[in-house]
Amino acid sequence: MKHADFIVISWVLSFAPIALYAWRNARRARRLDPFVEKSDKPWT
Amino acid sequence: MSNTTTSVPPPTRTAASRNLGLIAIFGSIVLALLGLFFTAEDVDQGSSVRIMYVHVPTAWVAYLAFVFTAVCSAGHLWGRKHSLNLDRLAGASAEVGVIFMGVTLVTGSLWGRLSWGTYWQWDPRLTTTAFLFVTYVGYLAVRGLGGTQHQRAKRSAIVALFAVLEIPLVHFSVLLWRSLHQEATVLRPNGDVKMDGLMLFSLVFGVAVFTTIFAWLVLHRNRVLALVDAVELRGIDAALEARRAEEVPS
Repeated sequence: MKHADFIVISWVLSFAPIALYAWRNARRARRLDPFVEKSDKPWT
Repeated sequence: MSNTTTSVPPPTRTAASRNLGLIAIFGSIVLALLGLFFTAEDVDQGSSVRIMYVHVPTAWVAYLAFVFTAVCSAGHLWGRKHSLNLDRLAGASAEVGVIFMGVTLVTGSLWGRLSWGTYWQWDPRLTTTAFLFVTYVGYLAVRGLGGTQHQRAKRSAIVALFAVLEIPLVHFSVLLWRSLHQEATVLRPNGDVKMDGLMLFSLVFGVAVFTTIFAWLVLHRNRVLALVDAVELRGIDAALEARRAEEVPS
């Protein structure tokens, strides 16, 4: 691999897990939503 | 349309959390421009120093996440109400901290390949960081053990208060033992910062960006965990109701 490849891969591997985690959280929240009441979501 | 499609906003979203997310995304783009294009190459390390703008901030914010976990855990244990929300915040923060610490290890490994010619060495800093990572993976495993929500909270709070003691060991490992890893450039004991102006600005900006990402992720994860707990309680309530109905003589 070239020098620049290591740098680009580092940056991609820094943000990819964060994006994946955020996406999985959003999906989990949507799946749980039908089973909760409005009182379970005091932030809304 | 199904409620699980991505076109529906997640129920954890509010106007404030949306704005925080937008700030985090915009900040990440600016950080990428600064780190990859606008900052100068290092005299000794050349362009590989560009990994520093993600490696160092993720390490610092992982420390912050673990300290926040300990503070919330202490709040749960010694607070008058033994708040489960503090326990959920502790868990959310630890999860995000583990992700950031994982990123630190991976980016550090790639940087090590460029600087030292190897992906891994059993060096004091690398070993203690890996140990910290494994400890918090263990903490998350402890959270997943059975029991009531209050049992989970108490058990994991005690683990968190011990686990946080590892952080000074990781940070000062480069001073305590002979290490391949360089000593601190910014957080030096004598306060003398050895870094160029724009490089230092980009590094501090990176810390701000990853702290914003941390706050955004923890906010959402805390709300997801609240939903999980609510569903669990409803399930228990429904089971108890069914049991009572069975016990009523016909």
